[in-house]
Amino acid sequence: MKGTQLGEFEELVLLTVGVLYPDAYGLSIRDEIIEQTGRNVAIGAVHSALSRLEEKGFLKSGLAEATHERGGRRKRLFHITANGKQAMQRNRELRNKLWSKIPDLAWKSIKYDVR
Amino acid sequence: MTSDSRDYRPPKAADRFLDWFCRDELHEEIYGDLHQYYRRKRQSKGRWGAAIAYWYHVFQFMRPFAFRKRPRHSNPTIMLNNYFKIAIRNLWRNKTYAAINIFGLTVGISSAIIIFLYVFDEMTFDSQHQKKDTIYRLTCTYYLPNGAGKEEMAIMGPPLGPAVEQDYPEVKQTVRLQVVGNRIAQKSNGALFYETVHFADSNMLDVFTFPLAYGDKESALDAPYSLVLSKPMAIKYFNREDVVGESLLFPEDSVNYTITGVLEEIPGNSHLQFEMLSNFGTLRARGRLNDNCWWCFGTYTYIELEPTANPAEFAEKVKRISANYIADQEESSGYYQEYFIQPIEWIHLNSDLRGEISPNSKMVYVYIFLTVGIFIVLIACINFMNLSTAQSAKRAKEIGLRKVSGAHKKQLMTQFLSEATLLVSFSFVLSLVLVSFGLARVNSFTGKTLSLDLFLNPQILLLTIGMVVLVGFISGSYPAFVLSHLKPVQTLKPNFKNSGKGALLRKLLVVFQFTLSVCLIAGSLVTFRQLHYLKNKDLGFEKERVVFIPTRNAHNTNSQFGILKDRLLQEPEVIAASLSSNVPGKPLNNNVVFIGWSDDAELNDMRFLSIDYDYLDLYNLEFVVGRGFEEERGTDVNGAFILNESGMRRLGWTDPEEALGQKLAWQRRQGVVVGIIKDFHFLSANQETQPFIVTMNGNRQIGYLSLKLATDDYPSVLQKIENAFREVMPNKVFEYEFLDEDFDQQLVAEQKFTNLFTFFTAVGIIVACLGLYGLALFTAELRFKEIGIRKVLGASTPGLILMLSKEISKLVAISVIIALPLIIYFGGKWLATFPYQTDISWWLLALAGLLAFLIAMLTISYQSFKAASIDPVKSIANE
Repeated sequence: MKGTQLGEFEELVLLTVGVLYPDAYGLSIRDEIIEQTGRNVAIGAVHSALSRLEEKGFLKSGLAEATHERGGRRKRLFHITANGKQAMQRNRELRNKLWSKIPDLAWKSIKYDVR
Repeated sequence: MTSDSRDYRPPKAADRFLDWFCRDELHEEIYGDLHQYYRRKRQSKGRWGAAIAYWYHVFQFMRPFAFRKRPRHSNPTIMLNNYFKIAIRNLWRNKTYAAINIFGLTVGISSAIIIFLYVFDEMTFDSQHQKKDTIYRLTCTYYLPNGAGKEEMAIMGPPLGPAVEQDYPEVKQTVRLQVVGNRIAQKSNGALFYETVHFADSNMLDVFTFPLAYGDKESALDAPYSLVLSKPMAIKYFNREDVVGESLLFPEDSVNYTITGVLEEIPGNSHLQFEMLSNFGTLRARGRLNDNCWWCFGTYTYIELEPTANPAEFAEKVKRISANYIADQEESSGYYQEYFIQPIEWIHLNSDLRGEISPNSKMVYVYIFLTVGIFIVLIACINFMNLSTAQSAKRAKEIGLRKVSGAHKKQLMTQFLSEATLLVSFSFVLSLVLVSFGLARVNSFTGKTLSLDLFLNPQILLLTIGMVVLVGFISGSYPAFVLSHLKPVQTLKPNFKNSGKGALLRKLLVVFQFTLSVCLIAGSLVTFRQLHYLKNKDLGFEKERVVFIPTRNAHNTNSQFGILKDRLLQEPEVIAASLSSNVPGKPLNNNVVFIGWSDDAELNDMRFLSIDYDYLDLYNLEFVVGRGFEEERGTDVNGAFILNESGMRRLGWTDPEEALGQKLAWQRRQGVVVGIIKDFHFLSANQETQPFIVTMNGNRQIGYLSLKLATDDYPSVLQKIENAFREVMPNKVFEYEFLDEDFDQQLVAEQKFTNLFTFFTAVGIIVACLGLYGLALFTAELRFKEIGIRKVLGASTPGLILMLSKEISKLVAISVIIALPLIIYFGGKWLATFPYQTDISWWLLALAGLLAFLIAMLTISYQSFKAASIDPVKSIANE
């Protein structure tokens, strides 16, 4: 299995899959990301990330029922696997650990640009 | 609802595009999302906005995860290794076929390489000059009075160069060049040699790229009596190469020329070739230059145009330059001149003027050889195609098995294409070896200096590799296509025989191949016959047993040669001797003929031949009317002229009787026409007879002493002649030539062409026959069992041979029928380039067809015979 590292965008997608449970599929994930972050994301980019995450074993998917608005095609719904959860937790703990290790002085020494 | 969905159909082209690059298994979800998205956009942004957004997102799907995967059932390098191994094993197993293929391809490619080298050499004549794009040669056409004709000359008067340079600012500089033969040079040990010296303006080495090995090219030709030598000349006279500063004596001038430079070797494909080069002013210093004579034809004039100049415009301007200088002369004489320009690289293949500095070739030869080369390669390719498709049955099992184990069509095609390319590459390497051994012979044969070094040029090398791949592709494409489409289920059945699928195409290819072969055979028959015709054409004079000694136009030798003539006539072996300006085969000079004796007589311009009383008898020339020159009359020396038939017509008479007795004036001689001789081929059977006038030598410089011999015992006669020569002229160089040998030199270009053509025809036919042999072998193998059963049922061996040969003979017959019109058309076109030509008669066509047929039959007969005479027990028992 390839590396189990999570990229920034991948983590974003993974989190969004969790948020949207049980209705997380390509387009809804994209809409959610745009809404939350304000960045413009191509549908293809989301699909690409989803396929990578599934390959890494962080996501599992299954086809749902067909709907008319999708031209009679079925959605692929994603949910997080145990591995995915682990990876997300690792990322979160790592981040927290690093946060807590930043000395206060570091914050104080930041010169804010007033303008 | 339904109408709703129809409204929101996204752009079809975008979907098709996505279909094309995107993996099928992803279509469902991707289309789902995209369509849902499109529907939303459609409602908010309208049709166009939605379409654009849709396209944008489709493009955004062009990411690695979505792309169709090439089927990767295996590691490609492992497969390539396997292909290679299988290819080698197959070649090994079918040694005969492999040998036929490799031999055929090797011979074909070798011929193609040689032809390529030859054509490349011809096409790149004079390309060594750095300024080649701006160098042109001027040519002069002069018109006779009253529209009586014109002469197209490569040479012109010496004043033209300076005039052009002065009158037209677009002319950067001009170079004049004169060639003077028969100069005697003396080695320090006293030995004398005849040499040809080129005299050129001092900027010669600046305009043209002729690098010097020693000496300074800027100043080498600055002074009169300077001399630049080729390396062989330097060694000939000084036994070493660096001879700058030495001097060479030309005893006739009593002057030492100073060596100022030694040339690097001049490339063989340069129309300018010289061994000794001197300054143009030397001619003036020797009093041999008429600076203002526009009618003294003898100078080649080259110009370098400014890079910005428009050659077409310049050509228009320079055309009548003579009008600016000699309008009065043109007015009074009725003659006038026109000038033209030729790009220097164009001269070799396109120019055929009077006085060319070296014999040129013709574009048509280049085309013919290119065609022949392509024919041979095609024939070799077809062999390969035929043999591989024919063998497809043998490999069907392998293909079936490969397909069952998951091989795709594309993989199989790759396999067969790479097999073909491998074979072609191997043959190519063999060809290079073969050519490198054979090239020396080709060079001695064609008089060229072809070299494989050309392939060291990266561009040529790339082109060649491209060609090898292309040939591999052509020969491999069809087998690859056929074999990769075999159905595995069928091929794996125990008694699979290749259906008639490839058979029709195979027949077509054989027909095509043999059409080419018949064309080649007939082509070489046509060229052969034309050459034979030219060689054996009745020339109108006797050229056998005539030896001639050139006088080399040396000063005051008339009387000495007169003495020699009398002296030699005492030898019993010498039947006749004659002194004349020219012998047949040596081009005649021009002069003006006045029709009448008055001052305002009409004039014409004709070649002339000056002779003594014995010439017409010696060469056995025939008279139409009148008589030859007769000594007893005493008045013939200045008062009699003879014309040939063309000359008579040129001067305006059609009836020989009418021409007889007409008054003519020539070179201050006033005389009458005393005889008309039949037209004969003075120059070559390949040239139209020129009109000329025959005069007596009188006090003119003579050029040759002709001797008619009574015997074939040449060595002893020649010894006698030489002894007499040394007796009379002890300080001259003795030379002689046989007239027939010298005369046949005129046809040497045609001879070479015919030989080359015949050679390549033979190569083409051998290759074609190899293929046929292979096919016959294959047919016999295929019908192995059938033949056995037929024999058991009582078929005779001859009957079986007939049966086996019938198929191929039918194909060859069809080829002959197709080839005939081609031969008649193209052969006729080629023959039309000769002034005197044979025709393509029916027996020649029949012979070509018959030859092709016989060769084909001979090729297959062995196989047919072997197959037909086999013991039926063997073939049937084997199940």
